[in-house]
Amino acid sequence: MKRKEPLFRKKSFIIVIFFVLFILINWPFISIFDKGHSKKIFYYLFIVWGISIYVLFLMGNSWINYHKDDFKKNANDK
Amino acid sequence: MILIIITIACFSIYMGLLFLLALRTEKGDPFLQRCSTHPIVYAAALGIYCTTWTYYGSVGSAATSGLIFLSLYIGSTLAIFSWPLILRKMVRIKHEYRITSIADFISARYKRSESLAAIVTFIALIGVIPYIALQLRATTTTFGILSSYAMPDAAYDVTHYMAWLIIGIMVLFTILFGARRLDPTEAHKGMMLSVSIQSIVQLLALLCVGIYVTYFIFNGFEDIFSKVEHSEFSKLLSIGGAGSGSYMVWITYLILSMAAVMFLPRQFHVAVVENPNENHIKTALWCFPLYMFLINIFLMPIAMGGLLCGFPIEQADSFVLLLPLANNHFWLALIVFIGGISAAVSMIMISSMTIATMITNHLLLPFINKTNMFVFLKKELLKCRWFFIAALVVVSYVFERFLQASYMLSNIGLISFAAVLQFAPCIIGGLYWHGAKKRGAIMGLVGGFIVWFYTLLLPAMVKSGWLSMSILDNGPFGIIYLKPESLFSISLDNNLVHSVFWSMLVNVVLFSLGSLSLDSTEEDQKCANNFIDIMLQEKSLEVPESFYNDETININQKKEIVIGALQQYFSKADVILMLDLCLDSLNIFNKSAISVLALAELQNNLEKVLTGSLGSAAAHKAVESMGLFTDSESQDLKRVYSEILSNFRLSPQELVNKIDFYREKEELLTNHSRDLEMKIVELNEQIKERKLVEKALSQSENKYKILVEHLPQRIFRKNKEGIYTYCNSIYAKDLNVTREEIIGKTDYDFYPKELADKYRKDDVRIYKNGSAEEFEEQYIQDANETWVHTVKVPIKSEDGTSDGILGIFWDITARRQAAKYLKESKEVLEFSVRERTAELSVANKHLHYKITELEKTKSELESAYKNLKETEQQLFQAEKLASIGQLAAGVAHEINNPIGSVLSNTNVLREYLNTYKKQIKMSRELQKAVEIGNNDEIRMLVASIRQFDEEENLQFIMQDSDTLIGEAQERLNRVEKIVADLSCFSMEDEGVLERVDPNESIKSVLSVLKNDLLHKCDLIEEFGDVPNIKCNQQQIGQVVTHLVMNAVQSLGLWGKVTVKTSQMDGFVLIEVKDDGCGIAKEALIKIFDPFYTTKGIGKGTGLGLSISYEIVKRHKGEMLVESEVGKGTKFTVKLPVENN
Repeated sequence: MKRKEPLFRKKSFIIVIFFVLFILINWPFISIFDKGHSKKIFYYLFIVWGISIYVLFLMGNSWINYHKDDFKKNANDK
Repeated sequence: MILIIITIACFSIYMGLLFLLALRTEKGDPFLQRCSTHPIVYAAALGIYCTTWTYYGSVGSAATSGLIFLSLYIGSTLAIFSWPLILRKMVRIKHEYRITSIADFISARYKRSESLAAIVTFIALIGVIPYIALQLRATTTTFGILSSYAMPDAAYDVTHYMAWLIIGIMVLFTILFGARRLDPTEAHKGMMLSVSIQSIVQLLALLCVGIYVTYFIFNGFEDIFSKVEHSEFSKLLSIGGAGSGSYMVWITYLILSMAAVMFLPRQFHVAVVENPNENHIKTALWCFPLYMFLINIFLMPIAMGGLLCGFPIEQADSFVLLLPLANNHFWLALIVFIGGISAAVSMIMISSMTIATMITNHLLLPFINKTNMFVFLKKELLKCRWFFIAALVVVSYVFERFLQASYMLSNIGLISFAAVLQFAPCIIGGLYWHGAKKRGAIMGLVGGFIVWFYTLLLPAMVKSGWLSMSILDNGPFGIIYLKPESLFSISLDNNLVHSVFWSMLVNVVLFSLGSLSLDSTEEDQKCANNFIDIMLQEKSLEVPESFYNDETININQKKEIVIGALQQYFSKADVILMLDLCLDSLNIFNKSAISVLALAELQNNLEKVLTGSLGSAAAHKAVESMGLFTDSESQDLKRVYSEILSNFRLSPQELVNKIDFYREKEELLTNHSRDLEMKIVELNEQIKERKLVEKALSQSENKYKILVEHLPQRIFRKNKEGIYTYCNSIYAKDLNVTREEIIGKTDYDFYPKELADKYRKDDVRIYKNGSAEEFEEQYIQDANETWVHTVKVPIKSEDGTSDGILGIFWDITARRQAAKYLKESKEVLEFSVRERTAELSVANKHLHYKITELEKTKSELESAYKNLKETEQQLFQAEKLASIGQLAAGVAHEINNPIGSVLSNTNVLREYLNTYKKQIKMSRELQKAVEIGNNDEIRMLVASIRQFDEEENLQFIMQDSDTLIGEAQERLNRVEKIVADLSCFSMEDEGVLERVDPNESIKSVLSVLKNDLLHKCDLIEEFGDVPNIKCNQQQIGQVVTHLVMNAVQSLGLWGKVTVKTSQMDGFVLIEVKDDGCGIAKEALIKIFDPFYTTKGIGKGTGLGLSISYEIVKRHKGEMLVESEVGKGTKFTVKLPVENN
C-alpha cells in the first residue's frame, strides 16, 4: 500500500493553512477581540502568531523528509 | 564625559570584535567557516529585516497607533508560508543563473532586459537612500540622548563626529567584507556571520530592556495592561483605534510586509544571494518568525510603560533608551544603544553593498556600453563598487542632515515598503505565469512606480515642506480628480492604503496587459520555462554522441575572440583563466578543434561565469556581442538543433522542457555522483580501518588467549545463573578435570556446599552492585585448603545490565604464611628493639659521661699542647742560640789567630817606628848642621847616621814593615769577613722568603764553620750549577750547620765530610755526607723526632734534626737520610726551585 504523504508536505495544505491564518488575523475575526480597548487583542495576536510559528516549524521538519525522498526518487530514476 | 568615552569605547570594541570575527572567517578559520554556513546563522542574518525602524520606531508607532505595527511582522510571518514554494525556487534560480541582486533576478527572467534591471535599480535606489538616512538619524539621535545624559551641560556636541565615525567604519567594513571580490555571488561568509551576530545582539538588547521595563519598573504584562486599561492611553490596546479604516491599514501593512520580507533588496540579498544551501530555508522557516516574535513581544509594554512613566508622546521613538536612563541605568542604556547600532549598521552594510552592485551592473555598465564613455571604468568595476558604497552612505547622511525631522523621513519605512511592493507582480508573475513578458514587466513597474511616486512620495515631499500644499488640496493644475491623496476622488482614509491600492492596480493591470498584448517569442518561452519549471523533474534526454563528433571549429580562433572581447572587463590573465576553466569543465581543454554543439556549450558556460561579475543582462550582452559564431556556424548549429529535434520527435517546447529537466537532472546526478564518490571513498576508508581494526583485534585476541592460558592465575567466566562458560587450563587442572568438564557446570559440582554457597552469594552481590570486587577467600586445591586472592568483575551487556561474572584468582597461601611469619618476627623484633633501646639508653648515659670526661681531657690536652708549643718555641730558640754559640766559639777561634798575628805585627812595627823616629831625629840634626854650615858636625852626624843604618839594618826594617802591614791587613780582612758571615747568620728570623743562591748561602755557613772543622775532618765542597731558590736564607743556613756539625760529630778522630749541591726535577739537592759511624736502623726512624739523640746526656738537645726537618718541610721540601752503620750517613735536603 502506498504510504500516505504527510500533511505538511502538501502544497494545498500549506495554502489552506496560510489562508486560515490570514483570515484569523484579519477582519472580521480580529474585531471580535478588538473591543473595549482590552488586552485581549494583544494576547490574541501573539497567540495566533505563536501558532503560525509552530506550524512553520512543523513545515520545516517535514521539508527535510520531502527533500530526502525527492533525492532518493531521483537516484532510483537513474 | 567619562560616560561618553565609555560609550565610544564600547562601540569601538564591539565593532572591532565584529571586524576580527569577519576577518578570521574570511581567512578560513575552520570553526567560523562552519558557523557562517550554519542554518541558524542564515536565519539570524534574515533578522536584518528588523532595522532601527523596528528597534526604535515601532515603540513610537505603538505609543501613537497601538498594535497596528505588529501587522508588519505578522504579515512577514504569513509570507514565510510561501517560502517553500517561492524562496526555494528563487534560490534554485540564483544557483542556476548566478543571480547577484533583485534587479538581476527580474532582468534574468525577462530576457535579460537591461532596461528592466535599470528601472528596478532606480526604484531601489530611490527607496533606499532615505531608508539609510533613517538608520543614521536613529543612530545619531540615540547617541545624542546618551551624550546629553552623560554631559547635561556640555558646551559642544560630539554626535556629528560619532556619525562620521560610524559611517567610516561601515564603509570600511562593507568594502572589506562585502565587496572585496568582483563576483558578488561568492558567499560573503564574514559579512553574513557579522550580520547575524548583530541581529542577535539587537534582539538580546531589546529583550533586556523589555524585561527591565515589564518586570522591574512594572509588575509584568498584567500590571501594565491593567494600568493602561484604566488610563487615557487605553485606546492603544486596539488596532490603530476604532473604525473600519484601521483594518484597511492593517491589511495594507500585512500585504506590504509580505512583499518586503522577500523583495526588499537587502532581504533578497540575504535570503537568496547569500543562501549557501537550499535546505537552510527550512530552519529559517520557523527561526526567523520566532526572532520577529521575540523582538516584538516587549515593544508594546515598553511603549505603554514610557507613557505611564510620564514621558511625552513625542519622545516615544526613544522610550527604549529613555526608560533605563530615567532610572539611572546607564549600562542598560548602553546595551540598548549597541543594539540600535547593530540594527543600523547591518542594514546599511547590506543595503549599500547590494545597491552598489546593482548600480555598477545595471546603470553604470549599460551606460558605458551605450555611450562608449568612461570605457576605462569597465576594468575598474570593483573600485566603482567601492565608490558607490561610500557615496551611498555619505549621500544618505547628507540627506539626513538636510531633512532632519521631516515628515518624509519619519515615514520612509512604509514608503519604501510600498515601493518594493511594485516588484511583487513581475517577480511572482515571472515565477508562475508563462505568459509574463518583458514589456508587461516594464509597463507594470514603471506605471506602479509613477503612481507610487505621485500618490505617496509626492505628498510626503509636500508635507515635508518642499512643495506647495495646493497640489494636495486642489490637485495639479486645479484638477481635483488628480489629487495625489484621492485619485479620481476616491479617498481611502489613509494615504498609504490609497497609494498601495492605486499603484498595485496600475501595476498589475499594466503588467497583465503588457504581457498579453504580445505573442510569446521563443526567447520569452525559454526564459519563462527556465524560471517556472526550475523545480520540475522529467524523463532524461540524451543527445547522441555523434553530434559532437563533427569537430571542425578551430578552438584557438575562438579563444582569441573571447580574450579580445572580455579584456574590456578583466585583465588578460583573468580572462585566460576563466576561459580555461570553461574549456576544462566541458572536457575540451586539450582539443584543437571542437564541434558546433561544444561551441554553443562554451558560450553558455562563459555567460554563466560572466553573470556572476556583470549581472545576467550585461553578461548576455557581452557574450552576444563577441561574435563567437560565424554565419555558417550559426547555420550549422540550427541544423544540428533541427536534427536533434527531429530525432526526438519533439515539439520545440517539449525539447526545451526536456533540456531544462536534463540540466536539472544532470546537476542533481552530478551532485549525487559526487556524494556517492565521497561516500565510496569514506566507505573504502572505513573498510580499510575496519580490516585494520579486525586484524589488530584478532592479534590482540590471540595474545589475550595465549596470555590467559599461560597465566599462573586461575581465570573463569560464569553466566548469571552461576554456570561456567569458560575457564583456563590451570583452573581445570586445580580441580583435576578438563576444561570441557567444567563448562556448563556450577561451583556446587566441584566445591563443598558451604564454599559453593559463599561463591554464589558473592556472585549475586556483584551482579546487583554492578561493580568489581576483590577479596581473599578459602579455596580447595588438591584436597588441600588454601587461600586465594580473588577479583570478580560483572560482565555488562549492551543495555548496561550484568549478565555474567569474569573472575581471576591466585594462590596467596605462601604470602599469608609469610605475612604470619612476618607478623611473628615483627613481634620478636619489636621485643628485641625494646630491650636494645633500654640498653642503649644506659649506654647512652655512660657515653654521655665519657664524652664529658673526654671533653675535659681534651681541654687539658689543648692546654698542655699550648704549653708544649711554647716550650718547643723556647727550645727552638735555645737550639738556635746553641748553634749560634757553637758558631761563636768557632768565630772567636778564627778571629783570635789573625788578631794575635796583627797584634804581634803591630808590636814589631812599633819597634820599627822607634827606629824611624831615631833616624828622623838624626836627620833633623844633620839638617840644622847643614843650615849652620858646621862641617864637622855634619861629618860626625853623617857618620853617626851611617853607623845607625848599619846597626839597625834599616833596609830590612823598611821591607819588613810593608810585609807586616800587609799581613795585618790580610788578617783584618779575614776577621771582617767572618764577622759579616756571623752577622748574616745571626740576623733575626723574620720568616721572609727571598730568592738566594743556595751555593753562596752554604759557602757562607761553611766559612764560619771552617776553622772548627779544620782539625776534625776533610771538608770537601762540590757545588754544582744550581738555580736560585726562594727560601729563608738564615733557616737554610741553620739546617746546613746542623747537618755538617752532626756529620763532624759522627766522625771518629778524623774523617771526610762532603757538602754537595745539585739540581734534579725542579729541586735543588743539598747533600751532606760523612763516612762516620752511621746510624742504626732502629734509630734511623726516630732521628727526626724531637728530643731524640744518640749523643750523651748534656751533649745534645735532640732538636737539631727535628727543627731542620721542620724548616725543610716549611719550604715545601724533603729531607732524606741514608745510613749504614760503620760506613757513614748521607742527608739530602730537597728544596723546590719555585716555592710560592
